[in-house]
Amino acid sequence: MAFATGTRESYQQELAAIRQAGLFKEERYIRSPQGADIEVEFPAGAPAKKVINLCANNYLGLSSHPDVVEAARRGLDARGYGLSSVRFICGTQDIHRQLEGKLTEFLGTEDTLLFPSCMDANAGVFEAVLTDQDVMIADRLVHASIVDGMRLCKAATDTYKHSDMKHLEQKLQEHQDKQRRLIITDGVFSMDGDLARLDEIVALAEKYDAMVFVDESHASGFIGRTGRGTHEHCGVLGKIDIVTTTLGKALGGASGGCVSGRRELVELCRQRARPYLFSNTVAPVIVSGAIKVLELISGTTERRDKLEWNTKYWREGLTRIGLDIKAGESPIVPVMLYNAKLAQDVARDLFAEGIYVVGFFFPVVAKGQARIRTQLSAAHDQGHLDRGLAAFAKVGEKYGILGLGKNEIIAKYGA
Amino acid sequence: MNEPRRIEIDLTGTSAFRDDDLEVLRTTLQTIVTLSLECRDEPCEYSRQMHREGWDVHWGLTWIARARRGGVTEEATGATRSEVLLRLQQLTSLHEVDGCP
Repeated sequence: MAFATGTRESYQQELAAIRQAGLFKEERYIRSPQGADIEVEFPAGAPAKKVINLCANNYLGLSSHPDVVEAARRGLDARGYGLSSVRFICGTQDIHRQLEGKLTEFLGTEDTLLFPSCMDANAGVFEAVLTDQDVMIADRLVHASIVDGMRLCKAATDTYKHSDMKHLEQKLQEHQDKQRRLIITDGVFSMDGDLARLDEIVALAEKYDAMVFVDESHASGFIGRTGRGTHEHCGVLGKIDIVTTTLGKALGGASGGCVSGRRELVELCRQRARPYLFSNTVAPVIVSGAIKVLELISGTTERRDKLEWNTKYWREGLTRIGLDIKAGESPIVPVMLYNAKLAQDVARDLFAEGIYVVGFFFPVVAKGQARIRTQLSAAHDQGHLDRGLAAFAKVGEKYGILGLGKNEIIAKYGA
Repeated sequence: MNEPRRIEIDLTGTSAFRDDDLEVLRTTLQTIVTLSLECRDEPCEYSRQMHREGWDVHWGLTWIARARRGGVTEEATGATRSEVLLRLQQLTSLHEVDGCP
């Protein structure tokens, strides 16, 4: 027997250790389409409970939009369920190139290549375009998928302190002996919701002959005046060499991602990126839905504008209640609790009040930075937000944290 | 018959070794032993085989440093200890946090 008793026991011990550390992730079963209102079965076996969803990446509320669902259905009828192939054998349909063209136009780049996910795009892009003569200089808070991609690449690795442009400049100076330099950052950072200083990063890249990579997963569709992303917000459209982003958040929320940018770099990914070469093509049903999403958000900024209004209303509401939030302008709004148990307790009580949020703590965020990450959606209306604020006020009062700042919360609960 | 090879290391006057001194001594001796005893036919055959398969093979002694935290391991190699620790520090600095999905 390959999976001998001792082997099984060793894995059971590992799982027990994860539980003991309070890091065990449990799935909650949702019995409805994704949206502002969802039905959640939690714990498993419990009757489904109607709650307001404040933790989805459904920023534009398009995950279950009837036009997107209808387009996906038409795509299913017209192009089938699957292609049983990678892209370069017999897995590329006309609609794949159509979607890549629309993404190129939307992101303001030269070309685009679809991947099964943005995780895959980030895993494959660095190895495809860099060699051991080059260097990658990354913000220290980039997404885990970027870290994995960098580990797969033979280029030298270096980092700069989060959003510290002086430190980045110092690193660029240190690496002038390398053949190529690639600055790597998220557009919007997923934990704090803060934006990269892309205008300054691009200026440094021009000064020190470096390329710029930006992961726009938490930005595409809604950051910037017309939702093009952080590069639009910072006034550097067309100046980013590599953009990766996802179709799994604002852009329909299904799955799929892409590398978009300079024509030559995208072509190199088509030739070399292993997740592209060895993974199945993105399913036609998702491609069809994503094309519709881009049509919807290219024609009007209505959803993006509503999300902006919701974000402002929510941020102001939480501040008025007296909760400690991370300042910023993105629809990622972390409510800071600093203590891991407190974050879990508050999330549990909010669920009882009909608000679905999740507590995050180390190692997802830094030690002593436990929080509840709330995320706004254009699918929320003011009623949802008011009910959410009322629940946060009630639970916040129960724990005596309203009006308290960081030091006071830590003094009360520890970090 | 060849004269037996001998290595002498003068330790007089070094009453208090620091950890760094011991590390240098250990590494020096290990290097000498490796090059003297282990670099015989087998490694050369491995190298020839890889060459036949199209690999351009270079080898050399190097420093290696590993860091482990929970389930994450980072590893760096380099010509000097300071270089390898710098590289390792650069790799681990990518793991300040896991980050949110």
